[in-house]
Amino acid sequence: MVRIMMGKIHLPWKGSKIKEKGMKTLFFLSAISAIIVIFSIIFFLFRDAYPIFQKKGIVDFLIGMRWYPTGQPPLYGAFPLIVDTLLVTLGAMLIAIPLSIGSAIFISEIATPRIKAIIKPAIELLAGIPSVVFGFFGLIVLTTWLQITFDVPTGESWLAGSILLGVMAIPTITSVAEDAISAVPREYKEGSLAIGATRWQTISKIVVPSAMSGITAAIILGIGRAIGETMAVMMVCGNPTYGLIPNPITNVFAPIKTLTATLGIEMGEVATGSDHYSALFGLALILLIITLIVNILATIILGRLKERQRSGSKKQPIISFELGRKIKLSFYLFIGIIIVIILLMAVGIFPTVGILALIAVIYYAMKKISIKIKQKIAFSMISLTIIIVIIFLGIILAYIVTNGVGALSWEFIATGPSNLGRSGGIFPAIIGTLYLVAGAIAISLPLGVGAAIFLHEYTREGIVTKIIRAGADLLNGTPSIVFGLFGFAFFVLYLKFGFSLLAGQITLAFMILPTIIRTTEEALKSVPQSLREGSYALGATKWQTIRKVVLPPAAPGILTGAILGIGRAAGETAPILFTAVVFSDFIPSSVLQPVNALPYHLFTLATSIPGSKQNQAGTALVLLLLVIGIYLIAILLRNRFRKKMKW
Amino acid sequence: MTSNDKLIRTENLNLWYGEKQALYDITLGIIPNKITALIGPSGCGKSTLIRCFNRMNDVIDKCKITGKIFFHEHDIYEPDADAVEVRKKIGMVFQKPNPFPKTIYENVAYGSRVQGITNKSSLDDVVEKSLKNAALWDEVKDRLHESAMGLSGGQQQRLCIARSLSIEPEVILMDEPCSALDPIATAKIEDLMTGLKKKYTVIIVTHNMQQAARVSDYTAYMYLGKMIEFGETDQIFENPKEELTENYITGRFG
Amino acid sequence: MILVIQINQQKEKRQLGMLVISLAVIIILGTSLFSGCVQQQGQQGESIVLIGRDSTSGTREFFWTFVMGKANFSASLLEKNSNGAVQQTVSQTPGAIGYVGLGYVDSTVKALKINNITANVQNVLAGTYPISRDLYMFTKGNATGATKEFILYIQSTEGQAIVTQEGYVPLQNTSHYNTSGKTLSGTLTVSGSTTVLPITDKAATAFKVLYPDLTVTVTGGGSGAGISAVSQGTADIGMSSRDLQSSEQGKGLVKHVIAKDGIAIIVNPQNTYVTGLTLAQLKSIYLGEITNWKDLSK
Repeated sequence: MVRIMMGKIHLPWKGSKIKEKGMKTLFFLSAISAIIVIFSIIFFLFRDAYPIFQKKGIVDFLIGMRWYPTGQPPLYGAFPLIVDTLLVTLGAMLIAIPLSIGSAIFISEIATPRIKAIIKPAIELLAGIPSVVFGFFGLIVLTTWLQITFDVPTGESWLAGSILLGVMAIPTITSVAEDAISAVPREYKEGSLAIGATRWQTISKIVVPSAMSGITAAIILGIGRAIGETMAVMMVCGNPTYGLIPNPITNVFAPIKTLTATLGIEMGEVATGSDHYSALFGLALILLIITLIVNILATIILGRLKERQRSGSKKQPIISFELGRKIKLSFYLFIGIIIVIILLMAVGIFPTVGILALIAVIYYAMKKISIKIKQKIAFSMISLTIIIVIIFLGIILAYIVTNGVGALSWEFIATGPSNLGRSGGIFPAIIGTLYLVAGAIAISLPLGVGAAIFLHEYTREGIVTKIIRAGADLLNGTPSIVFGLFGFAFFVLYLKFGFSLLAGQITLAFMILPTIIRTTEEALKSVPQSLREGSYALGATKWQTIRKVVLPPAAPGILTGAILGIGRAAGETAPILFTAVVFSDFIPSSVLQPVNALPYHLFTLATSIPGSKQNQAGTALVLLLLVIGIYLIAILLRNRFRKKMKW
Repeated sequence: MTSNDKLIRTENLNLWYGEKQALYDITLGIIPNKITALIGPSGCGKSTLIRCFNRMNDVIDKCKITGKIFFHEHDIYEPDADAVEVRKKIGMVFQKPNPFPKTIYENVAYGSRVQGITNKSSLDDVVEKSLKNAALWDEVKDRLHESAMGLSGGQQQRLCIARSLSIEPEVILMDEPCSALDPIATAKIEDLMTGLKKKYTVIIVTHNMQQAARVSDYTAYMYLGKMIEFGETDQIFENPKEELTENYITGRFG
Repeated sequence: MILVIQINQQKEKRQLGMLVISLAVIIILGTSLFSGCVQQQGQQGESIVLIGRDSTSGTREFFWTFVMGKANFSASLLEKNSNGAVQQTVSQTPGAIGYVGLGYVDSTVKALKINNITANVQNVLAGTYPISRDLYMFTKGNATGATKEFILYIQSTEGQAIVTQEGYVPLQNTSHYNTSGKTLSGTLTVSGSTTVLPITDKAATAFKVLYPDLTVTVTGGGSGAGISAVSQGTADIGMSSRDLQSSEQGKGLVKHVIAKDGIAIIVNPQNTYVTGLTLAQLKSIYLGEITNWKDLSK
């Protein structure tokens, strides 16, 4: 009786319950936003791609050998574009995998603490260089260098694209692989060293195999990044008309045309609603499906890794020892045969035999060499990889700084462009970038933080959180150009926003949403459970606890995530290419007007305005300083935060 | 006892982790084919000391060592000395069983493999012999190619002992080898140790005084990074010379 | 143990020597193999590198219709998404050939004579230079207000002076533009062909002097983009270097001719093989039938 009376008397209690429910609903809504976005992307791509599938048939679209949408008759064969996309990714991985794994091993196992403290952030900064800056460097420096050095007709080629994509994938692969290697228990290492294994034997036989699944996931994530990259490949791969499979297939100097480059080049000019328009959405759908598969693979592998770390892995695979060895052997044999066939096709019989003989000689020589020398060789190779990575970074930065610094002046920053950007400054582009980024973060921060709070504070791990996380992961893996196409189809055309600041802001917001969700969740995880329990014990409600106890210590982590998101949004070109940007000295006065942005300004200057060399480099430098400055703040903040937050 | 009787001998050993000194002027001699126990309260530096004997502290950043450690009268810390060669002669078993995530067979064969032995029959021999010496053979002979992670804690620790025996060391260092095990598994390991001293010299770190009294021939008592007392086990436990040792032995603290 | 170490050291020295030798062998073999591969690629500047515009460009469509007779381009044509990009690539690539609007010819590239006629404004005006076409602006329905005034301005003597100055071919019989006391305000958005862009950009700057309250935004994107923007209402004027295609008709777009343009065939200044081509040769090159500059200089 008394209890009921008390309930009746304390009405505010009921009110606070309603508020609690309201907050929970709000967080739930923001949590499912990631899923809504990914499904709308798929829906809109499919809706606009459907006419071409209906007209030409999905199979013909996929295996057609020529892409010539304006020919008579128009040809919509995506096959060469798909092959070229895979080839450029393959080449990029051949460059990126050894360099990144070497760098990861160097950072986690070989570097002294002081060197590590310098190199790790340097590689993380490499991740901050916008792809359009890579493309600019590739277009001006790399392609010319390739053309002269290898004495080929044009440097715009598969190789140029692969080199750029490889360098761009290095930070992604290195940081995930480094985490995996650092997570190998120290006991394994000590056990191996204690029975007289050298450091290299310990690394190669114990540490790397133990980290293998993490390294695999890192590589797959790198592949995902390379497949979805637009601006850099579009600027350096040559883009032969129709799409062209290199002939012979090992000819790395052949120009190629990838799915993303086709979209980037043709989307802006296509007549809306035509077959060609629909075919481009078909390409985007293929691209999205490829990257989704790649990212799902990575998620599964990483998920399994986490589970194994939690449960401690009792049993190994069920395949018997002998069978496993046979499978391994036949796999190596298969790879070997493929390599031999490729060699035969590429260089003919005599050199192939030579190469094989050489490999055999090296193999036996390696067997004879003492383990100490092997270690020396291995360590110098690994140090070499990190040196190569640093040199890449150095060359790119040095080129942009030395060429761009001449253009820098107060006038360059504070006035508008004249003579099509050849002279004058980049003020409208800077303002435009700030507008775009501010809008994007204003939209994605509440959504992302809300989603993370729902995931971490309001639900137990279960089917709901799994689905929401999967949605965020898929969104994270979606190529930026696909966001651009979706923004064009949905905001620009369907919602009739037109080319506008608003359309660009929302598109960018969707793109950075997964980053914010993930970093916020990590920040929430780092707040110990005991703090929450302490708050509940004092009679605080869930929302009060979150607001007063959980969020304040998590704030620096959330801020880091937001800054990373800002950095990414400031550097991206593809998502705003078809939604928001115009090349002009125009500063919008409403969100429904178009806007100029730094990456787009650089892209246009570099590809369309001859005689604007100085302002190209100047724009690249400003963009680089802006984005790297943002990343630097995030890295410093994170390091500070890690040091401080020792519970 | 002359210094030649000692297999391992330390002279004025000091060790720092960064700014913090962990060992002070340790001078100690280890007699071959005996079990020497290092005892003392947590944080007294006994694990740190045992990790000096096979240069395991090299792995730790910011670790600085002065003084000398002689093995067969060669200083293992002199510039030309090779830590890898030292570790081949001085094996180690760790506090927590740490089998590699490989099969039982590969765990034991690892030491031989890293020395370049690839011949299958000699590897088979090494595996069988080492597992027998570690009293594990009968339990695992039918599942050599299953993951070592599937073994029980005690079996894992004996596997680690077999692994360290596989390369025929002269000394085996054991860093609290039973602290993660139940009494039955502990008893098995203790039996094993007694058997091992015929062929090997054993140094064991433990904070279980009964264990030290049961298995060891010599005992060293350490406190706050200093060697307080070293002598035959019976003498240390029954008639300690130092008051600190007595306090610890009689359970007044620690 | 000391003995063992010494023996090891001797061994190591021998092995190190072996390693150096094998490394040297690898490097020598590798470079020779690699240079062999590279030589298959042909000599610098002699292979023809075809540069063209992307498939939705008006320039490309005109070229394809007029020069190629709607025959398919060679598959090795490299696509660029603007005239500037074509010009830039040709200036960087010794063996390249490309086509751009007359306005994009400068000292970094060499324009070829076609059928022995030099590519310049006079010859286009005289009708002797064979590859020329009209440039357009499209509006949705008849132009009104600021849109109408802007087009009138470009078509006027003042506007055509800019056309001439930018290297294009002006319209004949123009009259002077007169604001006649009008004031305009608001924004005017122009987008589309990169061929027309330089004219519009300069004209917009001059036009803003006449009407200070008016904001004019000019953007590229290509003819197709301009036409679709104006038909969707996201731009007031669509610039185009080609006429409407069948899929773009029936949307109420009105055509305004604003200038003429010659298409210049450009090669790298280092190209010493040719100074001129016939239309037939040009077609053979873009069909992929002639792939080496040497075949032309004979």
